[in-house]
Amino acid sequence: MSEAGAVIEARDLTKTFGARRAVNNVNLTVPRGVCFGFLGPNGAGKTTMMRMLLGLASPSAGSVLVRGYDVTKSPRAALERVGAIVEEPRFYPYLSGRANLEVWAAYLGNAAEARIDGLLERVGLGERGGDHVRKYSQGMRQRLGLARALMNDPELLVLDEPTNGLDVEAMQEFRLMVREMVEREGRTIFISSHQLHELERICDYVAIVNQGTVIIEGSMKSLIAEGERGVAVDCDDEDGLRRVASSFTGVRAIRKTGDGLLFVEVPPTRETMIALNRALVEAGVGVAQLSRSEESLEERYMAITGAVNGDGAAPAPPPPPPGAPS
Amino acid sequence: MIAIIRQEVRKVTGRRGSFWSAVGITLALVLTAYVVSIIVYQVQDDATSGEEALFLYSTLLFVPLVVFVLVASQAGAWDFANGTFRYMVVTGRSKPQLLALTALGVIVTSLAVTAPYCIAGLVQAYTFPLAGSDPASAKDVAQFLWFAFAQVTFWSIVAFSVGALMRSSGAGIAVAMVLYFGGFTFGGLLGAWSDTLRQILPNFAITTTTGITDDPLGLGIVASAAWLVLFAGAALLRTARSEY
Repeated sequence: MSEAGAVIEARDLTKTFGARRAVNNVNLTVPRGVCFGFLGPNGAGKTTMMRMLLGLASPSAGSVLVRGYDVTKSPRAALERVGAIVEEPRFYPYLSGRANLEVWAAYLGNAAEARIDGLLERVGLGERGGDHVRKYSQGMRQRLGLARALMNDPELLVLDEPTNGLDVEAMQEFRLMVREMVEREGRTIFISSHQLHELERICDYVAIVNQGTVIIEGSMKSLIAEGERGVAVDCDDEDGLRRVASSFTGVRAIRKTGDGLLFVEVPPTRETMIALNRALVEAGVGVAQLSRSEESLEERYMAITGAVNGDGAAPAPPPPPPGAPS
Repeated sequence: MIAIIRQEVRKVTGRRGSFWSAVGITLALVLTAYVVSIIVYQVQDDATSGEEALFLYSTLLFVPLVVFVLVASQAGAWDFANGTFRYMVVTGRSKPQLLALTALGVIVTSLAVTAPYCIAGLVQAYTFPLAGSDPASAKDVAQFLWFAFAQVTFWSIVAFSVGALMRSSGAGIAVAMVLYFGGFTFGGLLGAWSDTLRQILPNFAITTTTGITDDPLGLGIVASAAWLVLFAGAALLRTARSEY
């Protein structure tokens, strides 16, 4: 029986290739209606995990339920409303974009063909749908891949590096589309990407995988909140700032950053920032800039994977998403 | 199901180079057969029978079959080599079913391309001077149609299966071609040692099922079925067991 509200549930999922464990005893719960980022370095097991979710590879041990169905035992039911881009979108280059979608519509049934026009428009290929795919740029193929993934009106979209080849404008469109699909259409998106700043902007939940193991899983907010937070100050008197800031309660450290600013490690609330600014000015310290500073997903990712790889202490995990087993 | 077959046919016909080669060669052959017939008629005093006309067409089928072998082995390998098979698997259908549907599309296409050739043969057997006053019998026609159907279907399945097993268009085509051409040569050599072994080779077995040779029909049917099971079974097994 599946967890209520979970669209993906991996239990003790393991995949071995000879002696190597590509996915090692992974437990993962992805709630419905969220964008879930799946991060990890190259060779961490992300794509293998995604392939098992989609029935493209069989688990060596454990199980994976998609939409409540075991993918290995009931692939048709599990994948009926699942769309995907795996590794890279592949097509018949000698057929047009539209003809390619018609091929998949025949396999999908359920009036998928009737959605083709709308989907081509949605991904910005309305006018190029009649062109042969061999004439498409990589970005256009990614867009067509997204259109194909949406053909069966999916509850779950599994997207492996979907932003490869997209230009800045297309990236922004993609970001908006993802949020629209999650917030307005209620779809669940399980996405992997190396573009961490993009994931930070679109994901609600995140799991970081390293050497086949999920090392941290939780909401994006809590993951970021667990990181270093404080106030960055650009001023003309370092000693003065140290003197003033050290008298504030809650200040844990003051140090100089790589870009010449002074970082005051303190919860960066609005009140604290106003009080710090006032105190600095009253003490005669000239302030050019004072801003909230939080670790980005990329910095958190580096800290976490670095810690696991032996570069530091392992971080405490953030709270798990709702529906996840304790 | 019909919608899927239609799209599978489109996948084959969309590879215009190989597909139009198959069509072009087949139509060129029809034309050639007509020209040869006219020449033969001109130099002979008496008209050739309808049965002989059909036999001439059956013999010439050897040429388009080469192209069908090429088209089918390429089609068998394409989805694996191109990475599109994994997207077919994500539709949730079983892998053997997906492979079988693709093969069906190839067979339908090959038979459709053969149709004008068969029609031309029949028209000539009944109406052209070659047929003369001795038109083909119903048995001759059935044998001719079965010959075309059996050869095209058999070699489409074998070549498609080889392509699906090899997973590379080039390698698939090469192996299928060796099987097709090499079978005749090897069969000739083998026949000198053991005629039974020659009879069970794919080329000879499938030809035997059409009844145009003196080889035992039962052995031809059994051997043909065994080859189909072997090649198609191996392709299905590999497809089902592989990960994508």
